[in-house]
Formats: sequence, C-alpha cells, structure tokens
Amino acid sequence: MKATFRKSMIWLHTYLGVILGWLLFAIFFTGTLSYFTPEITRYLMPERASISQSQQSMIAHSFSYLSKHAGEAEQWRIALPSERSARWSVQWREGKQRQTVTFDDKFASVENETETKGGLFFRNFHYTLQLRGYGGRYIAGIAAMAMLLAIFTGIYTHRRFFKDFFTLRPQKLKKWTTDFHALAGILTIPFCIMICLSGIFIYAIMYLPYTANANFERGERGVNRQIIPSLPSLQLEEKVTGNDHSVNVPRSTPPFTPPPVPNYAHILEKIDDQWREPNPIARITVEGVGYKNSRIILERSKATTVSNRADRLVFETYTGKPLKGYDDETVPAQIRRILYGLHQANFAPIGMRWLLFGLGILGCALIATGNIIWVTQRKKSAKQNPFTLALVEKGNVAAIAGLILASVSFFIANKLIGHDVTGRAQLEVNTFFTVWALSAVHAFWRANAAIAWKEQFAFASALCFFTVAIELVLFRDRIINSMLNVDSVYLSFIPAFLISGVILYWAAKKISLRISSEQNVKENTETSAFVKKGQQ
Amino acid sequence: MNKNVDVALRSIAAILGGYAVSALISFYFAFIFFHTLNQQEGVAILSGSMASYFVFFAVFIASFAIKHTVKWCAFLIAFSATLVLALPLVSPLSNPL
Repeated sequence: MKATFRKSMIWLHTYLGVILGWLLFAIFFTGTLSYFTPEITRYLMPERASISQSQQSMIAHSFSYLSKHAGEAEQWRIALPSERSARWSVQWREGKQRQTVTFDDKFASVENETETKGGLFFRNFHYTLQLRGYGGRYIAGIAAMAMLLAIFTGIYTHRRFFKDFFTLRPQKLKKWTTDFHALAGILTIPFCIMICLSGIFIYAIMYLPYTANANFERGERGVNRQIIPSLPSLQLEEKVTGNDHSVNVPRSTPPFTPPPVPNYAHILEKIDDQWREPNPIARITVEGVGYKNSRIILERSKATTVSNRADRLVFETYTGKPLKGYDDETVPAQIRRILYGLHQANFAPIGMRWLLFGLGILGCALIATGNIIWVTQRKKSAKQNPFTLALVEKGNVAAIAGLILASVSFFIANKLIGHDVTGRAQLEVNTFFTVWALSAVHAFWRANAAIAWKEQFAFASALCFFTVAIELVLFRDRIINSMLNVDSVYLSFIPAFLISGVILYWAAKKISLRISSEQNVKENTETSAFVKKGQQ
Repeated sequence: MNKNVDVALRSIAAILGGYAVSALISFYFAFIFFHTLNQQEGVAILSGSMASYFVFFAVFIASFAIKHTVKWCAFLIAFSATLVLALPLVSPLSNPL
C-alpha cells in the first residue's frame, strides 16, 4: 500500500491505534485491576476479615451446619477461604432457590453482608464492557486481535530495538513520550502477546462457531461437553444407613432424618500425602447427599497450577473410599486451559502478581502514550482535520484520565454509600459511569486539552488521597484489627492508593509545567514579533 | 485508484475477507486434525479454530502489505469460493479423508 512493507505497517499501526486505542485502554486498565479481583472484593466488604481457622475445623463446622440446615438438599457445596478472598461459605439448593451462607472467623454465620459487585465489576467490565448479551465479548475479542496486530506492526515500526531501548530523553516532553512508548512496547511484548492470544483462545470457538455448529447439535456447548471430562451421572437409589459410615451421628426420629456427616477425617488424611502445601483445598462438593453411593469432590486451590482447572479428587462420601476421578484432558484442551490460567494468573504468588500488575500498567501506559503521540504528530503535520484532531485529543482525556477517575470513584462510592441502602451495588456501578461521563463532558468543555489533562489527573490524585482519608476516618476499627491480625491483603490497599495518588499528582505537575512553558514560548514569540514590528 | 477507495477495499479485505477465509479454513483444519492426528471430534474443532486465528492474522497483515489491491481482493474472493465449493468434502468431519 505504501512504498515499502515497513511503511505500510507503520500506517496500519497508527490507524489501528487511533481507532481502537480507547477501547484497548479500557480493557487493559480494568483487566490489570482484575489481577486483584478477590482482594478488591475483600477490600470493599468490611466484614471480610482474614480467617485463621484450620481447614479441618472449617470443614467440620460446614458439614455439621449443612446436615442441620440442608439435610434435604441433594447437593452441598463448601467454598473454603484463601488468603486472597477470605470467603468461607456453604451453598445448597432448596427447590429452585440457591441458598448461600457465609461464615466468619468465629464460626458465626454472617448476616446482612455488604451488597457490592466488588472486584468482579472490573473483571466483568474487562471482558464484557458491561454489554453481556449485546456482543460485549465479541468487541473484547476484536480488541484482543487488534492489539496483536498492533504489536506485530509496532515491532516493524521500531526495528532498532536496542537503540530504542536505551534511549530516553526526559528533558523534551514530546521526545519523552515517543521514547517511553518504544521502551514500554519492547518491555511488554511477551506479556501483551500472552494476554491477547489467551484472551482470544478463551472464546476460540465462540468467535468462530461454524465448525462446531456443523458437527454438534448444540454447537459450542456440545464441543465442550465432549472435551471437558465429567463424572458418570449418579443413580440415587439406596439411602445410607448407620452401618455405612464410620462417624456416629445421633439421629433424630422421622419424618426428618438429617443425613450423616461425611467421613471427612478419613479423606483429609488421604489427601494429606498428595497435596502437601498448607490449606490445599479450595472447594468441596457433595453429590447425592444421604444416599449410599454419594460422592464427594475435593478441588485443590489454583495456587499450584498454571492451568485454570485445579486438581480434583473424588471419594465415596460415607466410606472415604477413593473413586476413579476425572479423566485427563487432551492436549489442545489443556493448551486452552493453560492459556486461560495464564490470563487469570491465579497461580501467581504475591510478588509475581505485582509484577504482572506492573506489566499491565505498563501496557496501559503504552496504549495511552501511543494515542498521545498521534495527537502531537498530527498537530505538526500539514494534513490535519481540526474535527478529528479535537475529537481524538479530547477523547484521549476522557478515555484515559476519565477511566482512572471513574475507577477511584467506584471505590469511594462503595465506602460512602450506607450499608443498608437498597440497590447499593447498582449505585456503585452508576457512580462509575456517571463520573466517566462527566469527565468526558469536562474534557470537551475545556478549550485546551492540556488543562483538562492536568485538572483530571489532579482530581484523580486528590480522590486517591481522599479514599485513604475515608478509610482512616470511617474504618479505623478495621485498620486496627487488620494490624493485629497482620492482614497484609487489606492493609496494602492504603499504600497502593497513596502511591497512585503521588504518581497522578506528579503527572498533573508535569503537565502544568509544560503548559506554562508553552505559554512562555508563545509570549516570547509574540513579544519578539511585536518588537520587530516596532523596529520597522 | 483513489486513495480512500483503496483504503476502504483493503479494510474490507482485511476484516471481512480475513474472517471469511479463517472461518472457512477452520473446517479444513479440523478435518485434517481429526484424520491425521486422530483427535476426538470436539478436540479437532477446538484446535482447528485456534489454528485459524493465525490465518486471520496473516490475511489481515497481507491486505495492507500487498501491492495490487484489486488483484488481492479477487484472489480472496476466488479462494473463499473454492473453499466454499469444496466444503462438502470436509464437513461433517466423519467424511473419509
């Protein structure tokens, strides 16, 4: 299209970036926050303090609670807390309704939990753009493919890798952005390829469903049914009797007999040899409660696997005899699972999680600087269209600074909206979108985009500090409690907000310096022109 | 050719052409995987569709790199037509190789 392949690729890089940059930034930013989904949920729910009970005692308590309250349910589920989520809950079905009860550190059921979407809001926005059912996931897929194309074409644009890598000219702001763009691009190449490729492959069949539809009656579901290993369905016939289990449980008289407690002690002993890390169990499912051939499925925590499918072991519920578990998945299915697991990074210990978070932020900065560079280059060039230039320049402010503002406001809304307000979860979400829309209005209202940048960054920085202030004033008890229990997950949110506040303040400062220097230059040229005129 | 028309044609070739070719070629990939690697049907479909994303990528890049836009569009149309015509050979997967 252009004279050389490289020039065509530069052109493609430019336009892919301009057209999809905002979308990519929104997806990257919320995705980066999603590395801490359970942590954010926990931060936003004051009652989620860390749980320090042993898994054995939690399992014992869960089963005795379930057999007392859910004796007639066919299936029980126990979710055990991890350090990240601190969520311990049991679940069963009553008729068509699903019942969930959450416990705290003192074995008491938590009444009246804070109603919030928590970290899941960012996570769901990241891949559905709040448009699930309206093609949101397809848009996210398009964005992922566009990012892959942008990386490929970007590599052609900056082919002098080493020279670019060691060049950073901080004095000149315009040079600084291009240098930084190249540097961030090189640093994040492997990360971005991994993220975008895995993002596409998670929905590989959904985006190209034709082969699946042609060969399976139920399309993608049919394929998944075939390739995801499952257990044989249970034929529930005989009720369990006292002789079938080794734990003696006092039984009340009919009509209601609570089912016996599963033989968990025996099972826990068995898995101790196989899963050697501390607190290995993430989830327990009992199927066919109260029947002789009932089975219990233990799911291992994902901290030890790169795949998004954790190990599972299956036992007979009341005898503790091991059963044949799930079959291994085939290689292509495992590839998809591992890519999925890499994308979600549940395996990452805390240090690595922060590293991935940093790479994600660097990716956001890469996209943001790319869009800013387009504006500065376009201002210099002769073929500018004032409408598109203004649109992109101001849209950049709304898309980048606005999203940051909106995200911080989400946290603040959660902290400030009263606990008992009805529909507070939706109010938080509405706050997020209202602030984002207001930021767009502000950006387009300000004549000079640089001033809009400065003001929005400064405001976002102030909001970050405000979040910490709210925490210190309204949640002092929680902070003290967490300090006593060394709850590092909750406590690290405070320095995280402080650091974000400082960075945003620094950015605002940098921009305001630039504005004043530009004004000086303008005034100087004007006065020199004036002087010249006077001389004539 | 007018530059805007050129860019529009290339974009159509890249987006629609790329998608059509990769969607069609996923049938062939799945068929090949099913028969040569003896994969299960579902697995062959999964690996076939994963592989065809690389075809989309290649067609997309090529659409903006190739010299003659019209020739490239004609090629894409002819290629897709051939793939469509030969589709009964590979779909359903259980057809003999």
